Amino acid sequence: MLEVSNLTKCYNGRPVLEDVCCCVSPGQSMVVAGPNGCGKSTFLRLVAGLARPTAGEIRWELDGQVLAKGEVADHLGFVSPELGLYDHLTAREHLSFFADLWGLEQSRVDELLNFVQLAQYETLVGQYSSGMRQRVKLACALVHNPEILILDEPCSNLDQEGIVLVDRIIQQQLARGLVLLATNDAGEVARYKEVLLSLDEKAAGTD
Amino acid sequence: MRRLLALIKKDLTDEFRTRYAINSLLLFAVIALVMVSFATGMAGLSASLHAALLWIILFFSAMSGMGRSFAKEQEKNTAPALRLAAPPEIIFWGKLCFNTILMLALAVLVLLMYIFLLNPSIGNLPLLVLLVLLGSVCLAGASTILAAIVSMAANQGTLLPILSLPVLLPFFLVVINATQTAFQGAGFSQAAGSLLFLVSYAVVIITVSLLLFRHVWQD
Repeated sequence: MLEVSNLTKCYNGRPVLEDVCCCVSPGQSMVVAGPNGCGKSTFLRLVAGLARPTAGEIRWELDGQVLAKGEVADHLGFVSPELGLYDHLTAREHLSFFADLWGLEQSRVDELLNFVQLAQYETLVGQYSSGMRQRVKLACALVHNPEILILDEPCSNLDQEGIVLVDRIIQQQLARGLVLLATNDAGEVARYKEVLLSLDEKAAGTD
Repeated sequence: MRRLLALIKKDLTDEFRTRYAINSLLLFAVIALVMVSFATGMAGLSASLHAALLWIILFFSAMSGMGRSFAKEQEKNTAPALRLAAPPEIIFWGKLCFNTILMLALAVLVLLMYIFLLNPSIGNLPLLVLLVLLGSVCLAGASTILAAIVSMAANQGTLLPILSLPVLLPFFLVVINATQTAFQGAGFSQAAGSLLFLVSYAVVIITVSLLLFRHVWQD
């Protein structure tokens, strides 16, 4: 479960997020919506622990246990347009690297490469299209079977097949944890907004 | 250990394919060595000058290549995924091992080329080799944490050599003096104090770096 209370983030004294509150339970998906520059990506970075809030509290709970700040990353998969890839490694090498970091077997690599339909590509990621790169990012985020999945614009650059793949990932994820998703796409908002965090106003709130 | 090996393997694979650090290190070292050999010609240099020249070449070569170890993770935006997948200590050890491997390879190459091009009179070769290898570990240790700090700065330019100066000054005073005595033929017993200092310096710089790195690595 995620509980966010009075979350505020300022950059150089200018507030990007102000007093944001929300709550998401396991098995639920939350959509973070709003126009460009309203702080969707910042919100996701904050809850992922990749940035520090100026004020407010973020509380993650898993199986009734409150997660310490350092433990959150172990249960979390994160996909964002801001995340980069190693251009001189292949998709297999990326997944193998992250599988090693998580202490997992290499069989997981083959499983994920087949899942994101990149098993037949042995070229370097630098030569991939933006859609294929997005698939690599999705696979890297899923390597350790995280209970929490945070997706920032997950369907950007994806073809129809890729969009179906993202939908499958989200449905599978909801069976074992929760999903936070930032998007501007009205169709995605309608489809996944079990909880909607709308950041289009100065003081954000939840439906 | 598996995480550490994964990080080293990833950095080595990436480096051998891009050859960014290797090219920077080698180009600087070769150009500097050739220039020094042309400038000094066949004139016999003193042991103190040989020692200073050798470490100047090693220092600036190291700074030109190893400063990128963290900067490229920031520039390519691969740092957030690393932050989520591994604890800061493992990341630091991974980068330190990678930089040490690069630095040791560079040191061996520079020493061989230095001997070939400048033909210095070496009184105690095993001591000289030991000093260069031990000094390389110290250089790699200091430049790893400094590269992490510099990678967070907006204007990275020449920041690394400038920041390195106060941190590495005591190290240079000792290692250049010890290298001079090795050129002059001093025994291991005479250099024991300097060797002990270098081991202590490496231990202190790596320990302090490990304590600091968590704070540097957080965005």
